[in-house]
Amino acid sequence: MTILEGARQIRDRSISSIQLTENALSAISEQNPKINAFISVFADAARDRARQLDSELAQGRNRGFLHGIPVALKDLFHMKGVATTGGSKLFSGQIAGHDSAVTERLEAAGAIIIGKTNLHEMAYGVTSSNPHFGPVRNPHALDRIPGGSSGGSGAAIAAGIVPMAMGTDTGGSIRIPAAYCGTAGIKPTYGLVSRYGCLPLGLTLDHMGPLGRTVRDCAITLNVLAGYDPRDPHSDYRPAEDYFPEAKVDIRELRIGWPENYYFDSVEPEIRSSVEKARDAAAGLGARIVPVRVPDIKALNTVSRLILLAEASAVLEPYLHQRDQFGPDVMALLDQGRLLAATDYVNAQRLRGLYQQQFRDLFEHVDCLFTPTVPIGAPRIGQKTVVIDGVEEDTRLASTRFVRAINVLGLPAISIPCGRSSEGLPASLQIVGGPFAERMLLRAGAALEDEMGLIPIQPAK
Amino acid sequence: MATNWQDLAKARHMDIPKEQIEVLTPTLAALESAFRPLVGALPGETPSTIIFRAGDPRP
Repeated sequence: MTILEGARQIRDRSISSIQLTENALSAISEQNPKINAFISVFADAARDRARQLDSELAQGRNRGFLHGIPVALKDLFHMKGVATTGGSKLFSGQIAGHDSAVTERLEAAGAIIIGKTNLHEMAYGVTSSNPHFGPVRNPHALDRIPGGSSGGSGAAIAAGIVPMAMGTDTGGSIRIPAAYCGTAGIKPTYGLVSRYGCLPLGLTLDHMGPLGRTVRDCAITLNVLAGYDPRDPHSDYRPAEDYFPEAKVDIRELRIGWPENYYFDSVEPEIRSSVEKARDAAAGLGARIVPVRVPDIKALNTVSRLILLAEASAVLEPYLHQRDQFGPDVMALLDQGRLLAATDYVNAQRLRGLYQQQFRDLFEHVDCLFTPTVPIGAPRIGQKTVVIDGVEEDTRLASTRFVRAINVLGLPAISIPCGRSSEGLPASLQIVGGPFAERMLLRAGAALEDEMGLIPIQPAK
Repeated sequence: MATNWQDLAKARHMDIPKEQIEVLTPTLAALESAFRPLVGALPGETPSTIIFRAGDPRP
């Protein structure tokens, strides 16, 4: 069920919040042993809150689309009175003394936070094969990763447990699991959603956003989350917009940039043809396809990696002497970050501005870019490398090479499913826009979703 | 000139095991060789994207 369907049924009293909550809890009991999407589940608290929200509704108070809808939080967001593990044993005993801004806003909007989702350790990786809490498994193929770092959130939605789960995205961590799990997911513009109360990783790269069953579910959530927060120094003052796409979206004015370089150089053929089908569907709806040459994404990925390595190691420095508390992949990244020179970090931040200008110039000519979100279908758990066009590539670098650059630019990007491979694995389209172009991205995404349909939910068997 | 990561870690008294640095060296070397030319082409007047403000910039 989507948020929109749930909200309609709650409004017309054909279902209650407590029923939706019981359904979600049953789905967790049945499926979580197979997919390991949740680190913690708040069954009693969720039931209490559902009853309270049902009672509010009976008294005529409806808080909006999220009223009484069960959702999940990546276990990186603080929730008062509950541990925020960050997917690490280091933080397992640390009980949050306050809510994150995201938690506050979701609860104020009537959402029921049913549990906290598993993730890649410290949100620093793409597999969500967590050494402390076990690997998250992709509902579409249990031997495959769900992507990461917000892997539990993607898996929980793909399995039909919740219609929306929060993610964070420092180098693709919302869009990658959305792509591998066949859900929608949006990384908003830097500063649109408050980062207050979320464990940091990349101090100038972290973004908060929803993964959703549908594009409209993401829009509903973004309507609740967007807005200035003085507790986050990076928060933007821009007044909030209504991001919810209309019922029949007209994209005839849309100018879609179709990259002639980089993004299709090394992509699995089935992913490429799925993204081309999405392009053709957009053209069929009247959008204009404009071939473009994109700035040097490889260089941007280098800049992004360097900034993240330095920032993550700085953030986690107080814990780095406890080497046995980190998984080997995360420890290797943290060691790399410690070895970098401060001058390189500063120069990476200066380079960032140059590329930002190049992208501003690009978005003078087009409204958005269409690219694959990832060049491959979900890799197998434990698979360290992938082979594309006969070339072997590190799984993490392959998974991040189309998404990471967008974080360093702070631009909004949405990932939506656009097909399935012959193995049944989802393929996804990434749509990237200029700063604060979320409304356009969500409208374009909704138009395509309406045209191409959803990937069916896949309860884990 | 390429960085000697072992010497660097030793000079900075880091507790990174020697074998770990050996494993990381190809990755770090690749990152360095991709990054150095970008810095070489960076115009001198380029500001940082990290902005510090002394006062509240709200309108």
